[in-house]
Amino acid sequence: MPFRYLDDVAIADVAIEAWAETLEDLFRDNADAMLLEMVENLDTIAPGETRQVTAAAPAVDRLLHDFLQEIIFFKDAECKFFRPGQLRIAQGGGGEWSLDGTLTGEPIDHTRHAVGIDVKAVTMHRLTVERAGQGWKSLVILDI
Amino acid sequence: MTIPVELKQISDTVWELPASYKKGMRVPARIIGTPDLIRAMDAGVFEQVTNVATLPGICRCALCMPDGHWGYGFPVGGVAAMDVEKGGVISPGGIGFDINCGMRLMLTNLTEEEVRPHLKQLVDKLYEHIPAGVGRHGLLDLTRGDFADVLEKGSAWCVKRGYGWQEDLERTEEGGCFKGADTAMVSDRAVARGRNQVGTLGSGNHYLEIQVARPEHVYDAALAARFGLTRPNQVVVMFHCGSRGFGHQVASDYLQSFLDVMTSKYGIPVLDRELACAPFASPEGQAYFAAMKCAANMSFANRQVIQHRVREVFADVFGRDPKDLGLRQIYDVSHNTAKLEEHVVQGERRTLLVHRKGATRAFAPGMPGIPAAFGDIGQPVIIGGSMETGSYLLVGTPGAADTFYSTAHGSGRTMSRQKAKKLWRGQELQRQMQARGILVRTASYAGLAEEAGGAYKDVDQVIGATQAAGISHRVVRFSPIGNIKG
Repeated sequence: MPFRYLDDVAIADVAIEAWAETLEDLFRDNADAMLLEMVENLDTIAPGETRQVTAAAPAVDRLLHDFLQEIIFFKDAECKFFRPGQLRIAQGGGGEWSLDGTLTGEPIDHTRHAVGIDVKAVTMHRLTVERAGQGWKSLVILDI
Repeated sequence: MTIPVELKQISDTVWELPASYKKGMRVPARIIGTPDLIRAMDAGVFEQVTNVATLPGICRCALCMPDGHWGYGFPVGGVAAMDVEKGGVISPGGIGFDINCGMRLMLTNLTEEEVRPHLKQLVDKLYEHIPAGVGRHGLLDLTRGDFADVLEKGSAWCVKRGYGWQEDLERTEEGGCFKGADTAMVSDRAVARGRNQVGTLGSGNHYLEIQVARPEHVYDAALAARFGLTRPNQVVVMFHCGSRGFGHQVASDYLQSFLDVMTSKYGIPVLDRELACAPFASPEGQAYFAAMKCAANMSFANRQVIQHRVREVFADVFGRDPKDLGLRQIYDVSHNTAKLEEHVVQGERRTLLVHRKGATRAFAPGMPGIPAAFGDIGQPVIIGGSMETGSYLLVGTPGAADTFYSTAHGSGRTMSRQKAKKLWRGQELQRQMQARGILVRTASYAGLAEEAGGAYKDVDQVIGATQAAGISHRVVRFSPIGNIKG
């Protein structure tokens, strides 16, 4: 897997280290790692519904924060699990970062989804998105 | 564990890192604990409590309670009092995402012997009527107008709608309502996340337990009797939950907005972005304080509706009226808040904004803000241990002046969730607990494994440390017999 959970950081919560060739893949991997805290098998999330997602932020790590918060939002506001589909991430001339893309998912159903624990928020503690060789890596700590 | 060499023991239970430990510290950092608990603290505690000591307006010292562990921004167990007239800040990271996460304790007049035959039915029905786990709606269908009333009025809204008794309000911190909540200060996204969640438990370390006060665990019989605990093996109900998605979104919204002004507008350096803050006496600080109060009220209402469901379930199972079953609220106390309180600093009475993140207010006898019934014995403090061990009822003491009348809030984690999942299997743990007389229903076996007792510090040691430090007084220890969790 292109991510791992760290055992020795923020022990009451969940720390995810991820790496990927592209930012889009890095964001997708972080979403999957976060969702895997909430549901044991991602394949059980059927892509029945689609939502457009857009985000803009002054820095790429805050863009990742805002993107993951969108998935948390739908989990509470609509009681649905959504996974990322197509994503496009770009940096504007002024340094601003933006994301647009789609999420696909369905209502949470405790009879079909083996649920895990609730993710409350993406924290800013040690949040990092940085270049690593030809690709990117990240550290995200989720509040549980 | 890496204990900084600068850490000095200044009494049996108080340890200090001086202000010279780290650049920018305005006051020392103090950690309360026995030598064993201090040795078991993770490195994050020392880093984080000293970061807190750099915040503008902090008084006397940054504190961490004996159950402290690595959080984000503040350590969990963190206490910091800011002088609001001297540039003191408010920080969402000093309160936590789960604003007004707290504990409620209910009495019954039943004994373990009377409850055991009905335990499975009770646990099953509680699990059915109190939605738990990821993505579960509450059973109330609130309009936006209703939800706005919840945010402004807290528990009082519930009692008016028939979800509780008037006396419940008197036995809730702040009467179940933080005055000054302003719904104009909360986002539509926060409302959308929380409107369907009133009366839900959540997940993680949130739970509802049926517990027993065994005679050997009644440490102060006279005080226990004042709380109605008079029968051997008397049963109580304790639960732990907070403001759900609403509070989480309020905290996230303001943390992000504070990051945009913290340095650029107010010149406060950022050591950890999770410590984002703004002066209390600023438009941003006041907006967050008014929004935080909305989340605190949502949390009180959440616990109030859950309490109502507990009464319904017990009444149904025993075929008796909840009043006849003695299902009275003992107390409801928060452990994630910031509150304006008066404290004496260097001989002078000051108004301080006391942040408690994973720490419980513990007012001494005679202090204002305690229910009249308990005015002479001190504020009740409810501390939940791990689901396999036990929980406590304590009272506040005069000795807690040094911690701004604060004490621990739980047993404190000592092992990561990932490690716990590798060590335990949820279904196996459920069977083992049942064999020991603790019946568990859970929405998630993975979540259950993460909450195994072995992942926590020894709650008895933590409570012993608060007793030895004189920051709270032990009344009763409760042992779990039934548990529902998300």
